[in-house]
Amino acid sequence: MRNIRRQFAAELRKYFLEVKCYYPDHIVNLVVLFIMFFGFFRLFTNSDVIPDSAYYIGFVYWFYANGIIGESSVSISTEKQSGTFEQLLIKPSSLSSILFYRSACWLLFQSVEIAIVMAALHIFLSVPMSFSLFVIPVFIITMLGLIGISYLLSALTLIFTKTASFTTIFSYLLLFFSGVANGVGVRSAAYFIFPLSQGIDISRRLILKLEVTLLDMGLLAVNSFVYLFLGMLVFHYVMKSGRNKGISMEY
Amino acid sequence: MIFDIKNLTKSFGAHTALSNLNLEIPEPGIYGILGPNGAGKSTFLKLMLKILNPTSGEIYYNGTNIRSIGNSYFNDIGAVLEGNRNLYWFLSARENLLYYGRLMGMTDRAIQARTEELLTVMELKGHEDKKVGYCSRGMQQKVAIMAALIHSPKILFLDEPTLGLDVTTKATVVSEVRRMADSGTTVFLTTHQIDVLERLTDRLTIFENGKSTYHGSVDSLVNSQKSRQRTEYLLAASEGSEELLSAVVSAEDMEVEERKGVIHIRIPNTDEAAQSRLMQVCMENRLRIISIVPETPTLEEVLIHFWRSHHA
Repeated sequence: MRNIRRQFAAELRKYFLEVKCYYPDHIVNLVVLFIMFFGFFRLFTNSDVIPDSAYYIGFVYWFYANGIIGESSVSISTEKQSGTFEQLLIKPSSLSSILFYRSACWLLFQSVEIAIVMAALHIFLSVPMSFSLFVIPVFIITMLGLIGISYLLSALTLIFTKTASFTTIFSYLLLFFSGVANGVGVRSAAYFIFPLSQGIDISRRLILKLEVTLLDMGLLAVNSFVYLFLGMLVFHYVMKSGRNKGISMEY
Repeated sequence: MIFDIKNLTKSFGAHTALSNLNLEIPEPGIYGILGPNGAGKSTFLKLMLKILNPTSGEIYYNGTNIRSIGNSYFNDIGAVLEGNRNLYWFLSARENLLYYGRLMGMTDRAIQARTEELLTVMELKGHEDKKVGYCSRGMQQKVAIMAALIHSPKILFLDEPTLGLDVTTKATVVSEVRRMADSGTTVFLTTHQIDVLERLTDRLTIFENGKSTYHGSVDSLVNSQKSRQRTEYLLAASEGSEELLSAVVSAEDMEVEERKGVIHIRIPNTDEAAQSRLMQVCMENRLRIISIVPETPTLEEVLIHFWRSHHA
């Protein structure tokens, strides 16, 4: 337990210093995010989808999904470029656990950013926003599923370092095809196979105090844990294969 | 026995990077790993560091197969890998050490104490809060070594630790590596810098085409080439003396050259007849002998000869 705490503290402090060092990037991210969400809320206000007080949560989920899916992959890619990757392979903590803690740190730090953007949207655009504490466990379960996808992409990055560059495309596909901008109750095809869609739908229902069945929760939990398990399995398989065939350190 | 390496082979498809290596590392010391580029040194280090899995064969550490030790193996291991930065450039030396120390499971207090100790030893006091990216190459290399040493590893792998360092920094690194080995750390050192090898290594392993062609002490390697030991005679040059002497010492492995009025003649110690002939010619022609210097071949010469003889 102490080791977990130390490892988490190590990643947290490193992340904090990284943010401090590259703070202009984070300011730009905030501004871009605000402009993008501003566009979305303006656009859909004039369309058939009427934003309710739970509409915003889809964008919050997407924001987290966007980052968390690519975080580990980008992290591996960056470590390879900066020449620190092999150092991580020779530490008592496994690479998968280091990546897990990094994702957790990313979640913490980005929560501040999304809170600022959402507060700005609420103030300047009067976007209605409600919240339910029941959303938190749904959010955590959904994120576990997304971390699973992150492991899948990280595995690809171990083999093809440039994978990280393409994760952004995947993230934007999610924005349009995973029900982020749908109204409540509109279940896209992705709903049944993708934890993000389920997480968004269930969270909206919880905020609007609509019915959430055990089947909905069960499907989300199963889906998320399948992704997490599958992601970790593939990641470990690729790591093992990489140790047999040689991990490319080139970028 | 610290390491016992048995029939270690690593292949990448049809290419065999390391073939049937058998090696025993019985006690702490500095073990030089030497060989031309592509000889299998890096593959060997990566296998020892478990970055790669062997195709066949085993590595035993303190009697246990490293495959079955798991990640706790790395509690005893530190490494500075060549061609890598090994450090986060946006962090200071102190922050890098804190990060790596925590990853090793150390308490912040222990990291702090060890950091102070290492800063003193590596003569980096006053630079610990500077971002590594802004430090000189020498400082960066020192910090990389400090990061590898933060948890006081029993085994240290250093891949070209003195490459690109100035004389003073190199001397600090060399003396620190020596001090660590003397205090019981086993150091695996790969370098192309023969002077560093000469000053540091207790034993050498030479790799060639994925095979170990020599494993033993530096002295044994040098002594194995006694035929390479020569005596240098320095004679005052006079008219016709060079031709005269060239006729006396004409064998292929003898050298005669004139530099600034002094004739340098090198004769293998094994060729006593040539030495007698030379002395006789000097006495008969009244050639003045300035000095006679027994010449032991440098490690570099020995190694070049060693490789050439293996290729022949």
